[in-house]
Amino acid sequence: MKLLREDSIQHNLTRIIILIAGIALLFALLIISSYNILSYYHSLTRNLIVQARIVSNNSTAAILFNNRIDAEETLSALKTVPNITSAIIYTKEGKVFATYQREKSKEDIHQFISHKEGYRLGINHLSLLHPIVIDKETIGNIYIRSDLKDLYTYLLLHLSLIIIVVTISLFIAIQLFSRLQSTITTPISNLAGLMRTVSEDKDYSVRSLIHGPSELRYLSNGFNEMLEQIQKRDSELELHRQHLEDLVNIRTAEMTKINEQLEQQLLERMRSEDKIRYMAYYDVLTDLPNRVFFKELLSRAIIHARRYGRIFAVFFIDLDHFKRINDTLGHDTGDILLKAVTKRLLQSLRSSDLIARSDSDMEKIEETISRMGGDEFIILLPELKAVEDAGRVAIRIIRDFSKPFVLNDSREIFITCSIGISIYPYDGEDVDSILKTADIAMYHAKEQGRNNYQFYKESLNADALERLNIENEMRRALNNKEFMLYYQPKINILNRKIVGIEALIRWRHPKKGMISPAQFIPLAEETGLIIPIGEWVIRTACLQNKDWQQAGFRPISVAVNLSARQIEQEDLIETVSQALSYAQIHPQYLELEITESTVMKNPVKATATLKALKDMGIKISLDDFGTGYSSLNYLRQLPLDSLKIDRSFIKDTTTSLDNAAVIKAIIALAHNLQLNVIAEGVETEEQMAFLSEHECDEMQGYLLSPPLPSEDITQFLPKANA
Amino acid sequence: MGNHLYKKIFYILPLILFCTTFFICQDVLPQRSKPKEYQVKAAFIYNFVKFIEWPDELFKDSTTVTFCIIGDDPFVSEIDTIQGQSVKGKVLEVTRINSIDKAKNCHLLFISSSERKNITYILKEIKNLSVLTIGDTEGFAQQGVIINFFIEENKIRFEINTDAANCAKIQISSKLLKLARIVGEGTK
Repeated sequence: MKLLREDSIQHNLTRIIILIAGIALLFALLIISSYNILSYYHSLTRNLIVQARIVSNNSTAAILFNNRIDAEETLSALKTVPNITSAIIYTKEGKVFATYQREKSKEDIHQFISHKEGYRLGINHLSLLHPIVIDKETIGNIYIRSDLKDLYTYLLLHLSLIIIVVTISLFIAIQLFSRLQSTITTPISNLAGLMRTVSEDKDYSVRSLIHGPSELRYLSNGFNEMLEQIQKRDSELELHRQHLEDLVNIRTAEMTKINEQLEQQLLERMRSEDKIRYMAYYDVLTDLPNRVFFKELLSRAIIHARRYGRIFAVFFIDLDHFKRINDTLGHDTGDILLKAVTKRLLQSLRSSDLIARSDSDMEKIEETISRMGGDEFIILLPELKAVEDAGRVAIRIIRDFSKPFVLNDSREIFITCSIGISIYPYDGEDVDSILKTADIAMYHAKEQGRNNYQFYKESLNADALERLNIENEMRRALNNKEFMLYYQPKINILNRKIVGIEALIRWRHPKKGMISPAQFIPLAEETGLIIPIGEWVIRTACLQNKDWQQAGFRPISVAVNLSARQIEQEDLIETVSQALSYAQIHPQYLELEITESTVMKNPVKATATLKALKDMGIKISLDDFGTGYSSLNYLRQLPLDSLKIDRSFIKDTTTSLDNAAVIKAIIALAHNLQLNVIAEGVETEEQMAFLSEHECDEMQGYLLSPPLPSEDITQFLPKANA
Repeated sequence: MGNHLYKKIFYILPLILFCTTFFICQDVLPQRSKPKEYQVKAAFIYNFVKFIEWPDELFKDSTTVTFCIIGDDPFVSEIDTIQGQSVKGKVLEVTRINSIDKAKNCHLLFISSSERKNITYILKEIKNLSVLTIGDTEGFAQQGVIINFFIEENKIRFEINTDAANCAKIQISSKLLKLARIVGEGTK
């Protein structure tokens, strides 16, 4: 049904009520109206027949006596009846005898066709043909015609009335209904609203009002009870959930506890495992790697050394007469001593920066000390540059052992050790053989009277010892002021005037006499002693120059040789500037001589350092030119003032055409680069003539003067007023 | 067939009436028109019966309505048309009388114009009888004849002396009176 849409009850009810009321009203009104209209029609026909009878009665005489006028007069009496529009009296023969027509009516009477006796109902008229009878004889007929205007008016009136009445009634019905229905619909819509609220908010604590008709009260009651049950169940569920949650929390706490315990156990186990592992690889007393671990490290070192073509040393160290200490002072003291020895060995290794190592290795094998058991220790010295380095470390250890070991009770114990040295790969190429040769070397050291070290190969011993002695003596020489500077003048070849002095180091050994720089400078370079020696040289040269200046000589520059290590030294510039300021010498009177090889070791850094020195005002010259790489590119980049042609070229100038060509080329090159050219080692007049001829700027050498002590060189120094 | 006859009569009737009137006015009554006039008059007389009420005792035992003619009979054969016709449930009978004495049983009495000199006598003789007197002579009504024909505008009309009717204890329907010219005895 279209009438009942899915709308609210209120609207549906209203529609139903309107429909029913409307239909009922219409039905009632239609019946009443029909009845009214029918009665009206009846009265109309009755009226018509009455009129017809009156007229027929009154017109009999007129007909019989053929008096038309009278007949028409009689008919005209119909004027008083408003709805009769026309009337006709017919004679017995059917002829029109008299007519009547209401003025307003425009009907054409003659068009009327007389019909049979009785009524005839047209669209807008009602007509009646009635016989005129007198003395039981029909003497004619009367035709009366009435319009239905009144009927229609009546009908219209009725319809209007129906519409008005229906409208008003419906209006009143709706008004009344809308007032009355609220008693039914309001509770329903309240319930519906409540239900929506409940389903949206899930709030089961709300309750419906109980009002309205009985069914709705039952409904509200039922709804409330349902809500109550839901709420109850909800709270029970909540309680249950809470209980479950509590249970879960308790279980979780228990689990956590158990977990912690498990973790603790695991940690402990891991600790004990670590401990076991540690014990497997380390010596418990000294915390040093044990024999097993050391062998592993040693095999690794072998692989590394084999791969990179390195050599390394293994020391086998045995404490001398340790058994005696153990026996007399007890094992506990022995253990304490072993710990102290370990500590000292570690210190000795850590401070062994004397060992020159190659820098470029990616993987590095650390120095390792291991305790083999008892009083035996093994040291792995990886990455040796020279075999002698191993001896140097051994000497240090032996020397460090010369200091007493102070025990807990401040007792001092003196103990020495014997060291056997095995060099990979010469003395053995696998772990066992290396250890074995080291052990043998150690016994050899014991045989030599203990407190010394021995290489496995006998020949190494003397050589290494010599170098070690020199190294040790160089250290001492610095302290004992055994080094001294000799000076050699440089002159301008053209005017033979002195232009500078080169300072050259000399070592006057108390026992061996004069030692040549060629003998000790490379060793000093290797050991790094060149740094303090070089520093002494610069400082001494500057002070000497200052002395000369104060003695009244014209200031000239003193040249000092720099080694590669010095140039790489981080604080070279600081050292130089300190020396200058200490001696109060202007930088222009200091000249630093470098060689190509010293620069080439680290060209970028060396160039930067030299530029900084040059910026201070110090002169830079390139020594021994022609023997090295002679890269023109670097030559151009270096901040040089002069080139020194190596003495080897000068020596054979007059006999070797090649050397002469080289000298000429060097001179040309230097002049092209705007550099001063100095010839070294000039010994003969011919050489000087050659150099002069080829426009060499300066010269130094025995022809002029050999290097002389400072006091002897003053004869060459220019007078201040000269 | 009968219908046709009626139609013919009604077509001819106006012509007849016209001619009659013409002759009366000219005082020249052609022979042929006279019977037509009286034919109409005869019909009129027959119809009068329908509107007249005689005292009841008069028709106690009678089943006839007697129409008497006194004097020269102007109707001649025209009157035959109404002879024997029934009216008000009675039969109309036409009788010619030569003496007023014989008028005792008459319900209607046509007094011919020939009796113009005897009119007073005749009326005196029937004074106590309920006879509807009818004439067609000018002045009769005023003299006491109840219904008197006259011609007006070529139409046959009649006048009624209501006093005379009252005297004769004859009631005349108002419908008839309406059609008639009312005269009294003293109106002359």
